[in-house]
Amino acid sequence: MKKTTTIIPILVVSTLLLTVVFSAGVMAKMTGEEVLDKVDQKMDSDSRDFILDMTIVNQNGQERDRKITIKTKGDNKGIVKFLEPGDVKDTALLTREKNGEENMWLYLPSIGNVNKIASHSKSGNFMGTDFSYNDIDMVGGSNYKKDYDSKLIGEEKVNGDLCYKLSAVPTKDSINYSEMEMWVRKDDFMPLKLKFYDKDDNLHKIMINKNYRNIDSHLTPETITMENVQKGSKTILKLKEVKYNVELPDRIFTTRYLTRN
Amino acid sequence: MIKKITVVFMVLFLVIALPTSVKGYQLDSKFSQKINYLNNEEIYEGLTELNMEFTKDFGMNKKLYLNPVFKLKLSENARFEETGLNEKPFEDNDYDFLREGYMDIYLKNADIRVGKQNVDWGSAYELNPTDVINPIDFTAEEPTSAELGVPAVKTDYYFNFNTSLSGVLVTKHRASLIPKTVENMINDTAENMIYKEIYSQIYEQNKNKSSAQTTTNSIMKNNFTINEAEERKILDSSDSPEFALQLTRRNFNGYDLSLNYFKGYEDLPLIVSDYEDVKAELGQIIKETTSTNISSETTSIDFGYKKTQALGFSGRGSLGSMGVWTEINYNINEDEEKKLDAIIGGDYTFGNNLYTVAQLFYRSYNDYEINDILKNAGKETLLKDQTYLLLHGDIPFRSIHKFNTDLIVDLGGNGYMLNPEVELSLGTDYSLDLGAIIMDQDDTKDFSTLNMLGNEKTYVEFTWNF
Repeated sequence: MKKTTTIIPILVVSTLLLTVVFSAGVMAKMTGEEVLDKVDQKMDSDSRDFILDMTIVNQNGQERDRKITIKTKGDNKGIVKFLEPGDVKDTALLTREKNGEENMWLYLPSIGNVNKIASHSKSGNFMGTDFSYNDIDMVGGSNYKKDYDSKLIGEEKVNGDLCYKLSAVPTKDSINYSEMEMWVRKDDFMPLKLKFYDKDDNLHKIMINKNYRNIDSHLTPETITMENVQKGSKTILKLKEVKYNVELPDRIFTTRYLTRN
Repeated sequence: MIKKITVVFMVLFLVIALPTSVKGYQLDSKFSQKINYLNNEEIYEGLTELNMEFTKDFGMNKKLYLNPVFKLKLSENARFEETGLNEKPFEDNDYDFLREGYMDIYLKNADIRVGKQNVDWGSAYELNPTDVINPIDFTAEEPTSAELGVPAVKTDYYFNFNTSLSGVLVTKHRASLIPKTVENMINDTAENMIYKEIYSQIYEQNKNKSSAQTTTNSIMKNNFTINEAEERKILDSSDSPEFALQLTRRNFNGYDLSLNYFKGYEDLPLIVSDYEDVKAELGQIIKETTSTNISSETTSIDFGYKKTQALGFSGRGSLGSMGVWTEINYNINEDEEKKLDAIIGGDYTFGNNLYTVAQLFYRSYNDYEINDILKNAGKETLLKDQTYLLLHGDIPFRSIHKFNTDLIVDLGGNGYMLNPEVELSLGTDYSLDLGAIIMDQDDTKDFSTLNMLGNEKTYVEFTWNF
């Protein structure tokens, strides 16, 4: 009887130790793909409805402010619309993906018409910002695993947080980077820093995600900064209103809705 | 002038008063001040514009949109370098006070727009041959983007995401506004043509140059008139209204395609009189006219807007890494005069964000009576076939500013237009554009696109959005 009572705590402790050791082993063996998968899972949401303040800072330190709204549904529909200032107000971009093919339509109020955007435009800068059309699409909801093949290349600290460091190459021709480096916080799989390299393998842009907040059970960065190190400019996005899993009817993600001011 | 200033003050009062009187509205305004230096005339002109966009959401899927515009133009007579402002510094130019004003009604599968509106069709860059519903203000600073609103009812019916049908009913025909110089040129051409007709008939009879000249002058003064074109109030007449249809299919093998049909009136004036009848009437007048007797008969050349039908097609998509588009419009009027417009173009963005466009525009006129009449009178035709190459490039600099250049080259060898421009962002709501329009044109007077695009000038424009 005495023997049994002694064995039980030993068994419990051993099991716990084994679990910890086994988990650590599994974690240590995580591949880049698994880390990206975790990032996507953590950031996954049926729908998102964001309002953001955008500040473009040029190499002389001059600032220009914009206000935009981003709405996404699933991982295949998104709409970005400018709310302010007057010269870009109501400019809107619709993204829809079907059978792996991504299509984009742009509405410019000055033209009064919705026009399909050529695939190459997606790597160009989005309305004078340091984000490309593809980058801004990522802000609306990550699709890292689909867009990049990655491998784990080590662990590094970013602002005191221990991170997985990944190296990833794009799987799509429309992404105009040769490589992306990504630092993913080990605690919660939140990407803290991303470096993008151009086709000549030179560092092009750095994206920093700061001040993650828990909103509707989703960790969300309050500030996203995209710095173009080649030009010396940067664009800062500050989340003003964030809603997850809200009811967004399909009719919002149509060219019909794009023209409504 | 006083009336115009009073209107401006009334509007400014309304802008200030509106926030306290109307709830749930949105007002976006733009003030711009442009100063042009017209290189050929060597004069300055100033253009002030206040553009307001008023939106009121009534709920229940109804929305009101009003776009009043106030313009003041400094007279072309104001030579600063010589006399300063002259006694009539403001030109009394006509413009649409209400550029657009309509109500939107959104239904489950359809959107309805009722009121004065612009209907924008076409997929090409700047020039859209299938965009046939609104006339163009060729007297505006930028004619390619100066559509005149028409009173209309537009319904867009959406079968699904990819397919939609648009129907437009225009309740009053509006004509394009053409510059006074072009209007005078048309009238002069018609007058010269008739003068030559009368003179040759009289000279044929009496073989006396001096007498033929005197009698011709007398007939031109007493028996002949030119009646300018009038817009047709369609609902006031027995004619059927203008209407248009557009069937759009998006993402068809990666391309957005549209098919258009239009039935209505031409936007540019043509001679609507039967020229053979005019010639016969002139013959009668010549018979009755002597050195002492003035015939009581009269005749005229009437300008008007002919009934017409047009069939159009436009498409846009990608070819490799390039964006590509095409637009074709075939127009046939009541006298079976035919006009074909076709555009093919593409765009490409380079890694350094240099955005480029190349576009070829072709226009041909077939069986136009005016061309035959002028040809028979030994004169140059007014409506000539045209082929233009349009090149555009823009690139941002210092992230917030932009260089812009447009070049239109007449491949028939009749000149070009170059428009370099720098867009400087002075603040989130302020900008300053500096540019020039450089033209090299043949002296030929015709209805060519280059002739309609304005004058050589250097300009600076300040814009404030609030």
